[in-house]
Amino acid sequence: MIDPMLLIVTGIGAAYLMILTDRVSRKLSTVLFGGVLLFFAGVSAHYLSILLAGGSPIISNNAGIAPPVGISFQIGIVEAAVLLCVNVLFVLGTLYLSGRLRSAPVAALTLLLMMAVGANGLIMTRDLFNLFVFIEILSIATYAFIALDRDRATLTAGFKYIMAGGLASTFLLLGIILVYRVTGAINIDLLAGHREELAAGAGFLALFFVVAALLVELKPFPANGWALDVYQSVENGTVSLIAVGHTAAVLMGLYKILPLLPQAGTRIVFWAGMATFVLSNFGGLRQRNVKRMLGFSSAAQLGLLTASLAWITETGAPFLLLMVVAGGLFINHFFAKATLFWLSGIIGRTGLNEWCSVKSSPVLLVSFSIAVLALVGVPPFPAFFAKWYLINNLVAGHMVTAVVLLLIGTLAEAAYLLRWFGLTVAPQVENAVPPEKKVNRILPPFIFSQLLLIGGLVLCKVYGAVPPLLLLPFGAALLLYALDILPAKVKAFAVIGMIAGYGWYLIPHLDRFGVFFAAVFLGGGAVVTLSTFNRTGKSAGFFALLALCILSLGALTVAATPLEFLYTWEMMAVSSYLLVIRGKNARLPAWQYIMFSLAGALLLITGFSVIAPDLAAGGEPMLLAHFTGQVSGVGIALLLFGFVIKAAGFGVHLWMPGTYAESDDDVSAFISAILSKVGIFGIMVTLIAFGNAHVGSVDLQTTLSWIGIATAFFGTLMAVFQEDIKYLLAYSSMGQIGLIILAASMMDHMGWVSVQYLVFNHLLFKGLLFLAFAGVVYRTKTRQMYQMGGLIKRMPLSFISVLMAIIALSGVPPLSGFGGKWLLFTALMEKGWYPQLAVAFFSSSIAFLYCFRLIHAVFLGQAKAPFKTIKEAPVWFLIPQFVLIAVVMLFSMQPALFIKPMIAVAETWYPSTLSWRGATLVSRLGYWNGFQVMMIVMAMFALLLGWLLLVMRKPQKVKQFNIVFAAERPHLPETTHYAHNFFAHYQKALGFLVRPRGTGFWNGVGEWSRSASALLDNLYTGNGQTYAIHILLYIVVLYFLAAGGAR
Amino acid sequence: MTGRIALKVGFTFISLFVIFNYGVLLVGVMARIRARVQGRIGVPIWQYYVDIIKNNAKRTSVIHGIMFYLGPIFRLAGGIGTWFFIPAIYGSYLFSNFSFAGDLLLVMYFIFFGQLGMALGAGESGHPYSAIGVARGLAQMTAFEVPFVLSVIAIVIHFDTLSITGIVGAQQGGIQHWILLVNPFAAVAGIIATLGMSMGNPFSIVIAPQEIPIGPPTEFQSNMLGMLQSNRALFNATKLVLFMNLWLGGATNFFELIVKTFALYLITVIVGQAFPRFRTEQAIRFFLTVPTLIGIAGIIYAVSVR
Repeated sequence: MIDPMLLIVTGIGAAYLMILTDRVSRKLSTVLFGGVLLFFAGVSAHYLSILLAGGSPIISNNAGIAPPVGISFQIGIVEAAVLLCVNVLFVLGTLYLSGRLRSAPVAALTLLLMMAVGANGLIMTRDLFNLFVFIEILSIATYAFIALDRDRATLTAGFKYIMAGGLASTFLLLGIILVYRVTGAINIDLLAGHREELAAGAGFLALFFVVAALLVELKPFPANGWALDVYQSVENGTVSLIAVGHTAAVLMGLYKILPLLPQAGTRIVFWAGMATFVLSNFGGLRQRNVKRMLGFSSAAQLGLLTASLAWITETGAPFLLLMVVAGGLFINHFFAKATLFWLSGIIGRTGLNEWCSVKSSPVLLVSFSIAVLALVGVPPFPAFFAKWYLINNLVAGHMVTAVVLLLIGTLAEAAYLLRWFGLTVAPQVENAVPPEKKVNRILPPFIFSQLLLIGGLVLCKVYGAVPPLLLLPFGAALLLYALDILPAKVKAFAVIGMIAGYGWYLIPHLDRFGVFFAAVFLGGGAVVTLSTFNRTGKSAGFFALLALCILSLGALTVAATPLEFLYTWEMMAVSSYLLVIRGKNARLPAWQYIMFSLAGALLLITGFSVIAPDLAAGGEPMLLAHFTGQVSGVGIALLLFGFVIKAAGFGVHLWMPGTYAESDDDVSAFISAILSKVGIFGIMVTLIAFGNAHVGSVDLQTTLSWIGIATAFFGTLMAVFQEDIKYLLAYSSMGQIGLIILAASMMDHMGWVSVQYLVFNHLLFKGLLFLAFAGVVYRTKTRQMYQMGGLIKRMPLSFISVLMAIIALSGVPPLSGFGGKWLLFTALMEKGWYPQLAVAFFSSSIAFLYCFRLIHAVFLGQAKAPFKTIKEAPVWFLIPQFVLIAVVMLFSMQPALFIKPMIAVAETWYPSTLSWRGATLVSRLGYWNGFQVMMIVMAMFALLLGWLLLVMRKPQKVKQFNIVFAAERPHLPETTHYAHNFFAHYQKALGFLVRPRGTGFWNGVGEWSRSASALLDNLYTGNGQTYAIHILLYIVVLYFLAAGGAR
Repeated sequence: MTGRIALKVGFTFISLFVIFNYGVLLVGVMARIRARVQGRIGVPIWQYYVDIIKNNAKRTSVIHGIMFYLGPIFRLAGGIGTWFFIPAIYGSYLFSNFSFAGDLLLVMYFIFFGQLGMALGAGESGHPYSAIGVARGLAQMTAFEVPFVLSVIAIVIHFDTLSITGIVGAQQGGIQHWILLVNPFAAVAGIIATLGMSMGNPFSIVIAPQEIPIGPPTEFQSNMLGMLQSNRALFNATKLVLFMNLWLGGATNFFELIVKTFALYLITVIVGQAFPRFRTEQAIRFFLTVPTLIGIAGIIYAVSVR
């Protein structure tokens, strides 16, 4: 066993020695320097391995003398893990800085080594005064290292840093002196026996000074202006050491002190942390400088870490929770932030929109994506698990305000990080400045990002919450990413194979309900994937994301616990976001999409926690089986609202039109036909597991029904007024999904048969429509309907698809749409939901308007000159369409084949209210025989067609303008084609209903957030004296709050 | 089994033949009545036969494309199909048609079949007036469907069935059982909706005889126009039979059917002669206000007395 004291001795010794060896040779100094850092890292790994193997904590007393006389070092699992992280950071950080260090004086190496010594000591020591000493070593070495850079801005920032550090040190020293005066001890373990003396009066003040000093070192809001200036101005390699290495060590100091605080004290630290988390994230919203923005993010992350440590300490939560929450947040922040600061140096640009060169290298792109997504807190990264368990725990402790702050802060952080991500990876933004390509610069961020990913996956395994079945989609995506050099068609084929294989693998794990949705997600996904055969080239990264998204959807159907569900849900959301953002103009819509998705997911986490925090945290199965425990209405409401966001319910639909419209065409088809059902799946899962409930006097079932109705009505009405095909289809989807939400809210047998019928039918016709129009847009290069016209003659097959689709959509017999209308309206009638029925019927009627417009403006009317020679849609768009048409025909002619299994699914929960009389479906109120209707209509049609063919054998086919045009001659197709503002009269009559109030509201939210951010930013004047006052005021205010609580 | 099917098919075609001729004569009679109101002599009541035969006998015919060709087929198939799904005379096997294939919801939705097909056919002609007519017609349709469906909901609340035969059956036993008296709000809302469906004044902007030649059918001629005219007669009579079944207790014999449908049609004609035309947006606003409120009152009344 290597004595921990040896680390300090070696470090300091080598630092002195290097000054001598440098006179001989810089290489010798460098070898010595690198050797010591590697030695530190090796020893840390060794300690960790011993402790993980079950060894007892490593304790070392200075000169063999135990406290209170001697100074002791102690290394438990937490200390060993942080030591390892910090030492690896120093190794890689040095590698990153090696170019600069080569030409720098030897003092740079010495100072770096002293920083490492300071950090190591700070982590290991159990002595308060020793803690102060190591903080000073660390800080002074850092100031000096910064000062090596002669840049004015750097020096100024460094000076502010010294000033803030000086203030903090003063309070720390004062606190330590007072602690010693009150208790007669400065060893932390001995101080544990003096808690009562430290809980009030001078003892409390003493301890408060110590904690406040450490907090100031951790950049709390608003006393963190100095840190933001440092982050912004100092060289990136140094900043990464300060932002994560320095703070990790100080955080460990706080971790050791916190247990000494009385409950009121930890509570104040908790709220200070939460305030920092929220306000720093708000501060980040308006930043245009990447490094300053990352500074705000760092401050926020440290705030959350501080708060979670305080909460865990206060509640005496188990060690596992400490590891999962604080450990998860720490690892996430540590690796991600270091990666991003390093990347910042490689890119060499600080503007938010100047990072596009990341895309020039897959290694940089992967590193960047992993780091940003990890900070956002999506799985499989540790922050996801950390926030999950933290929210569970806070909800269990009835900390409602804290949960709300956590959600708001998380969203604000995601907002600016993902805006940056979008500006960087979206295809439309280009920047030609090439990044650095030196291996020593690229390797550290790449290694850290990979460690983050591997760490996340290992954590999935350690928590035992995510079974291999749910990790397979991720594996499939990695495999496809590895095979990215293959042509698109091969990868598309592989995706279909993977879907088939995964479906086969899932079947034994599914119940009837799961089979239905798995068929929709995977079967539908496979059909839509056929259209991706049209892609040429490699479509780098696309198929990995597509596979991840489709397989995650499949995995959702077998996710049994809330954590499994959320994990899979987020994988689906993130992969679909990355698919969307590939669209040409999709940056803003993609951002809106992921923001709403994240908000929904956070509501889900909170909802699950409110319903049963212990179950949620323990990973007990509670989905897809009726939950028998005490059910909270608020919890169910949160879940339902979370899923309604995903289903683009009215009021939270802002993300939807742009997302559908601006994605690549094949992605639009996938999102609309398949992914749009996932919100419905979630609503169904919630209602199945927890049933209906009330929040106060509000009945959730009825509320959901009206949300569905409002979504259906306004979605449909908005679709009527669109000029852009894809926006029209998007709003149409919103309308249709609204009807499905309504059906789901009925919570009876017929309602849930309707849900399945409508889901399946929507998949068919919306897949058809998006694919058909994908072909049209592909050929015409426009999405404006009025610019088209007369395409029936050039694209007859696409016309047939659209015709079938709009008949199936509008519900006109004999195609499958009518079955859905019949089931839904009869069910509503039977349930006595007459107002909902009336509005649903009205919405369905309005759908006729856009259906006709869709087909008329594009395919009928006057053909324009540029489109007279265009070809039919590509065959790879047509093949899936005709597969879907075949299913529509089968569904229409033999509805019983499909409805019988749907009835069986709904019978799992409710006794059937439908019966069969031959092929006639009979309800309490009415009946319908789809087969007979189809036969009668086909016979009539055939008879009349035969008759017309007989009496009008050779009609003369006339040319385009041969029309009876009120005695005038039509001039141009453009002036003759009636297509623009098609329903002007409808706009006059009902247009006032669809003025974009929702958009206005959300724009207001954005504007107010930015204004709040600007207000916060005004605090940071850049003036050192102001910052000093901030720190002093911060400590004073904190003391008054803490002392008030302590009393 | 085959024999029974053949018999049913035969009967249904007989009923189709009867209603078609009734429809043609009804149009003729009403045209004559309108003329008299306006101080003209008017056309003979068989004029519509002459028009249909004349159009079918035209030697030349032009088409703009396949969908244009199929439009009238859709339209007439829609008209005939709607008739097929309505039981015309209560208790009569001959006039029960194929009403066993679906209930009132089927009929309400099948009405759109012909309209949609026709609209598509007219659209392919490339004639802007066709598209303008369709846009107006569809917009107006969505609005008058609201009072209509409110009326239907009230009826279903009263009689607890969506079967048209069931609804008619529940209204047997005297005039006091007709919806018109059981729930006058529902009947009035429904009848106002029928004014829109009939496309007479004040809701005639769809076919707008003055400003645009004849609305959606602008480009159709010869056999195709013949088919559309046949459908107009048939579809008109069919809808009247449906409305009779809903609000006036249906009919147990053909004479009763004639009296009731004539009376219903007369309302349309009288209103049409008395009022000027609404613009489309005015028509929409109208249907969504007064008749809708009456329809809501009908539902509230139905729920309260159930």
